Amino acid sequence: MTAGQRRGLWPWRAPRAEPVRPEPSERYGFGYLAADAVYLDSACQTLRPEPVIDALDEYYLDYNACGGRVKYSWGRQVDERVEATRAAVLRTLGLPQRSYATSFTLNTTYGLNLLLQQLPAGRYRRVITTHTEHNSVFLATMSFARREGIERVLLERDAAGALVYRDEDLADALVVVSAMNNVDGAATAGLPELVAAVRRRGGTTVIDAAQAMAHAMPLVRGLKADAICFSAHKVYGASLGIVAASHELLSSLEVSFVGGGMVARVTEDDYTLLPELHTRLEAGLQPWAEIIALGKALEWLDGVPAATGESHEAREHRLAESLYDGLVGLPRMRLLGERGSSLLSLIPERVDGHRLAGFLSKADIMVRSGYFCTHHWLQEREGYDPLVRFSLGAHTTQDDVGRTLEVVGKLLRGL
Amino acid sequence: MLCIVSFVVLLVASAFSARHRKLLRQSWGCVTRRATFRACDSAFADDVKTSLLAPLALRAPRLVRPASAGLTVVAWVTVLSLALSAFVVARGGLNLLAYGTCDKQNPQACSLTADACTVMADEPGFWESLTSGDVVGAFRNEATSLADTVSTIPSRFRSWDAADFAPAYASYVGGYREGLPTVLEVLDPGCVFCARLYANIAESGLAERANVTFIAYPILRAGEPQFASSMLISRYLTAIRVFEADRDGGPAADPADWAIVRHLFTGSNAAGVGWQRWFNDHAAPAQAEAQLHAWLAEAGFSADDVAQVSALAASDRVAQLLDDSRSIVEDEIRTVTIPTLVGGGGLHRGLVSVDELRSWG
Repeated sequence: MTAGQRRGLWPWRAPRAEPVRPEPSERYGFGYLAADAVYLDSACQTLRPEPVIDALDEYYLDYNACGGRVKYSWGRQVDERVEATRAAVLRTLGLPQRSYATSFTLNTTYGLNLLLQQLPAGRYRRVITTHTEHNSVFLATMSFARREGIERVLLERDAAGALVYRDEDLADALVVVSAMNNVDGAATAGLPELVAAVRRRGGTTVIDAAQAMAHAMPLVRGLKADAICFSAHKVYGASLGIVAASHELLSSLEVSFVGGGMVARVTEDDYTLLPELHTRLEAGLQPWAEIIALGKALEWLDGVPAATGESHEAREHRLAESLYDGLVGLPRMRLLGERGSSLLSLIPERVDGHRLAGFLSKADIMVRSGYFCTHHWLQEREGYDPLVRFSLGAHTTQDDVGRTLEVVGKLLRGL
Repeated sequence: MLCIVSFVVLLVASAFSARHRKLLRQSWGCVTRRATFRACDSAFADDVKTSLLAPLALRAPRLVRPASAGLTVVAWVTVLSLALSAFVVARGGLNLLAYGTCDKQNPQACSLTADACTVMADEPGFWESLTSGDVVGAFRNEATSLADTVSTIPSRFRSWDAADFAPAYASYVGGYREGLPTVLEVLDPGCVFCARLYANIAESGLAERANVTFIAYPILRAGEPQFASSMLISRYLTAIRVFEADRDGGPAADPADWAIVRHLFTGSNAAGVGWQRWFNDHAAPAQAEAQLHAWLAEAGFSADDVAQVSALAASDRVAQLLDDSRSIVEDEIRTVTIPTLVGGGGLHRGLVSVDELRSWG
C-alpha cells in the first residue's frame, strides 16, 4: 500500500479503496453490492435483490396507481399483481387458498398486534408463548393477557428445542410462538404437533415466521397454523408485513381497526365489511409497490436453485457452517448457535458488544449488537451483556465470511 | 467525562457548522445527567469512545485497552482543567472587579492591572502551598481569598468619601480649607506611579479645589519594604505631620511633609538623578536620612526641630501611626494597587489622568 492510498495523515487508518464489484454469479441478484461491504444483519432486514428493486421502480415509473376495484388500466395492473402476490404467499407457505387468505400490514409486530387486539373477547382461557420470543410476540401476548384478564404462560424448551407443555394446558388457549428465534436461529421443534394439539383442544395458534421465512422455510411450509405472520423485508422484499390467516380466524375477528378498503357499504350508523376476508386487516390504502415487490422477491427466491445450482437454504447453511467453524475456536467469547445456523450470536468477554460492533463497522463489517428485541430472554433471564449477532443472507459470500473471521479473530485475540 | 469533553468540542464545532448540532444535543443530554450524578442514559459517550478507538482496534487491538484507559484519563484531565480554567477566569473577573487586578496574589502578573505598583499577598499561593505539601492550607487560603474578594465587591459600588479614610495627623496641600471635598492618595514614596500621579494632581490644579491629603504606605514584600527607602521616608513624613500638629495645634497651613513629597517626586540631585530613583537605588540609609534632614532645613526646620522629627520618626508612636495607616489601606480601603486615589465620590486604582482629575470638584 502506498502512502497515497492511505487516508489523511494517520498511517493506521484503513485505506479507502475504490469499491470492487464481485462477479455477478457470486452474488446472484446482488450485483450492485460493493465486494468490500460485508452486511451481516439480514435477521433485521435482508438486502433487496435487483428484481425486487426493479419491481419497485417499475411500479413507480410505469403504473403508479391505486389498486382496489379501479377501472383504469394501471389500477387493474396493480390489482392483478397484488392478487398474484397474495397467491404467491399462500403457495410459498403451502396453504390452501380455499381456507386461507393473505393480508398485508406494516410489519410482523404490527400484524401480530392487529390480530391479537381483534380476537374475540372471552374466547381464550390463557395465552401461551415462550421465554425466547422477540418482543413482537412477547409484548403482544402480554398486552393481550392484560386486556382479556387471563393468565399468560411462558413455556420452556427441552434440549432439542421443542416446547415443553401438557396437552390440557392448550385447551382454549391462544398460542403465539416463533418458528425460529432471532438470536441463535434455533428452530422451534415440533410445530406441526403443537398446531394439531392446539386445534384439538379448541385453541388458536399464531406463528411468528419472521426469521423462518428467510432462513428456514421448510419449518413453516405446510404448517396449518391459524395464522402465520412475517415481514417481507426479512425475506428480500420491501418493507411490509404479511399475515397469512385462516378464513375461520379472520372471520372471527371483532374488527375494531377499520377504514377504507374494508367495507362494502356504509350507512349513517353502520357498515358492512367486504366479503374478502383478507381485507379484515387492511384498513386504508395499501403499499402497492411493496406488495408487488414481495411477489417478485418470492419469485426470485424460487429461482435461486436454478440460477445458482444450489438452494438458498443450502447455500446459506454452507456459509453458516464456515462462519461457525471460524468463530467457535476464537478466544474470549461465548458463541450462541448451532453449526449451520444462519444466525449466530456471540458474547464477547473482554469488550463490550456494542464496542465490538463499532470496531467491526470501521472495517465495513455490519453486524447488530445488543439484545435484538429479546430483552426478557437475554438480559433479564440469562443476564448477558450486550451480544453481537451475525446473520447471513442470500447476498453473503465466502469472502464476506472470510473477511469477517479475519477481523473478528484479530479483535478477539487482541482486545 | 468523555461526554463532557465532547460537549465542549461540539459546542465550538457547532458554532461553525450546523451538522454538529444534533450530536451537540445528544452530548448535552449526557452532560446534564452527569452533572446531576446520574448515569448517562445514552450511548453517546460509548459511541464517541468506540469511534476514537476503532482505527486503532483494527490495526493493533492489544493497544485498545491502554488507549481506552488513556482516553478516560485524558477526559478527566481535560474536564478538570476546564473546570480549573473556568474557576481561574471567574476568580480573575471577581478580582478585577474588587481590586482592579485579575491576580490578587501577584498583581503584576495580570496584564489588566492598572498602571500602578502592586502589593503582593503574603500568604503562599495555591500551587505554592500544594507543592509544599500543605494541601489543606492551599484550599483554605484559596477559599478565604475568594471570600475576601466577594465580600469586597459591594464596596466598589458604593459612594466613597475620602474624609472617612484620612489618617490621624493628616496634612493637606495648602492647609485644610472648610467646605472643600477631601481627596486621599495612598502612596508609596518609592513608587514611580505615585510620582506620576503627583504630577497629574499638580497639573490638574486639584489641590485648589479639594483638600488633598495622603497616606504613606510603604509596600512590603516578604516583610521588607519593596523600595529601599520607603519605610524611612514614610516614618519621616508621618513624624513631620505629628511634629507640626503638636507645634501648631492642628494641620499645618503649609505642611512640610508635602514639601518633602514634592522634592521626592519632582526633583533631582546635582547629578541629574531623580530623587525618587536616588532614594530607591543609590541611597544608603544614612545618606537618605541626611537628605531628608537637608530638605527639612530647607523648609525652615531648625536643627533642634530636625532632631525632634528624627527622634519621632524612630519612635513607637510613629510606628503605631504607620500601622494604623496600613490598617486603613488594607482593611478599609482594601486595595492592592498603589497609588490608589479616593476622590470624586469613588475609588480609583492606579494612575488617574489629568482630565479625570480636572473633572472632580
